[in-house]
Amino acid sequence: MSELSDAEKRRLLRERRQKKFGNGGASSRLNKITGQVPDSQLDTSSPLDSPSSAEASETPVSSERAVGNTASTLEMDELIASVSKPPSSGMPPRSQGTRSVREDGSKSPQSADPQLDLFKRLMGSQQSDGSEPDLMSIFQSMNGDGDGETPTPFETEPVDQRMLDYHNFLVNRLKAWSILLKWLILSLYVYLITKESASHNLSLPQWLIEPSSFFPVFVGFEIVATSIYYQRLQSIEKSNNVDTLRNNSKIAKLVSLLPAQGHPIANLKGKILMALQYWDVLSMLITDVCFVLIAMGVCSYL
Amino acid sequence: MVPLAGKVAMLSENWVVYVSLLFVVLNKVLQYTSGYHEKLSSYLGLPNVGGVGRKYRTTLLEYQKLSSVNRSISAQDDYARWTKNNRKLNQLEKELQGLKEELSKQSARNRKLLGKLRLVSLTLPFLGLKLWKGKHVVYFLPRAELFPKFVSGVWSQGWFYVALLPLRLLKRQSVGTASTTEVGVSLGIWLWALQRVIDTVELLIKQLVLTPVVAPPLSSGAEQNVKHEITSDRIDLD
Repeated sequence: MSELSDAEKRRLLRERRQKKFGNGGASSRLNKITGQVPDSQLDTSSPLDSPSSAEASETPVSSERAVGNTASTLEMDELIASVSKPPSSGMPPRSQGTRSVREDGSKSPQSADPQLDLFKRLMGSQQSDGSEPDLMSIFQSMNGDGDGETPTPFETEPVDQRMLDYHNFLVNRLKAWSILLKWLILSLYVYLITKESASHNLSLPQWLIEPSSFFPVFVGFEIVATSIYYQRLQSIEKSNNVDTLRNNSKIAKLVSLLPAQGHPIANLKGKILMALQYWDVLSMLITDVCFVLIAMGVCSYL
Repeated sequence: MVPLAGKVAMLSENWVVYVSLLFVVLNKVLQYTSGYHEKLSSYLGLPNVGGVGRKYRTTLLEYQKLSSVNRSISAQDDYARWTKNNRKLNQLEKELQGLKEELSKQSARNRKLLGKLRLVSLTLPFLGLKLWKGKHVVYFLPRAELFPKFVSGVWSQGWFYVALLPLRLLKRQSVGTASTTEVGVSLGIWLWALQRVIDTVELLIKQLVLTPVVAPPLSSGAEQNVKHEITSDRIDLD
């Protein structure tokens, strides 16, 4: 048996390795290196095992295949090198040749992973704007950005409990004062409407004290008062950086748990939050109507 | 002005309003005193709780006496007596634990019973009165044209009017009330409005009077800017 030269030895070894990788040995080798157990949740499938990487090019020439195999062997070496490096070294380097094969191929192995595709797309969109992608924008995009969906709790920063207590105190006090002032004005108005003599003494405009104009005046007053209340509320929310409805309403908190997609009604969260806002306004109107009704009863006995 | 006949009718059936007011007041009193109900039921001394409670108190007294006796004697000098007392103390402790559990069971049973009593004596009669005399006119509005006809119809005939509105429209009847000269406020609507106003008054008192002022929290920047430094070299000696 003749002695083999070094070059021949290397060639034989390379051929054996290529044969081994060709039979699906890459993943098992990678598993062995990374210490992955068979039932691990982490994906350790090697791109070398998928036939698309080798068959990405349309030409079925044996020499081309051999080049592909050589490239995949190089890829494997680089991969092993990157795995053996400490984690601080960052992303594993990729050979330009393999990347070009993936980009040119009709179905690259990366396209099988939707999360990677998503991040790649996000990176692309952010880079086109010339700005760095941040975590918030990634979450926003993952939750259906651009389809009019309302922001999810991921977007809002967690509110400090002390700040929330202070904010709730301010909001409750604002609500209490606005109700009190509204009731004072309404009780005066109801008294003037029900007692003709009092209104004549004050010489008020006739349209204001006519019984038929009571309801339009009342509704107009409610609209103005509610607008002022909401303006004040928004200024408090802005200064404290707290969303009252999202942080206090149990329904809003439950709604925030709903997934952004997957239910038949489009923008369900936004619709529910809008309904809660309207209910808040309607509830204040109903309370004032109740007060007017009771005040009229009191005035009828006076 | 309210017609005389209407006023007479109102006065003749004023008991409905008084009874309704009584129910409202009782409900509110029970709501305000909910924290004292447990104490009150223990003072009332219902038979099942009373018996167990007395036994518990007697046993507790005996335990305390025996415990003080055992503390006063020396375990080494008077070993036989101390051991005998100690055994009895252990026995009494077990008995007290059992009585405590029994007492809590009986209290829970009484709470349930009182809840049922409240339902039967207060909630159901109030609901019945509202259903029976719901359309009873409590008072008439000073003017008939104060509210739109539809709203006036609701005031005088209650929420049932809203439910029957589609039928009225199908029969091509007027949306307005039967009487255009006077609009009464029915008992059901009046009670609903009254309870809502009372609840809001409670909210106002709670927010404007009872709630303590909450100071604005220091921002993180302000917290960082607070300097903890020694500004005086004075030393106080004890």
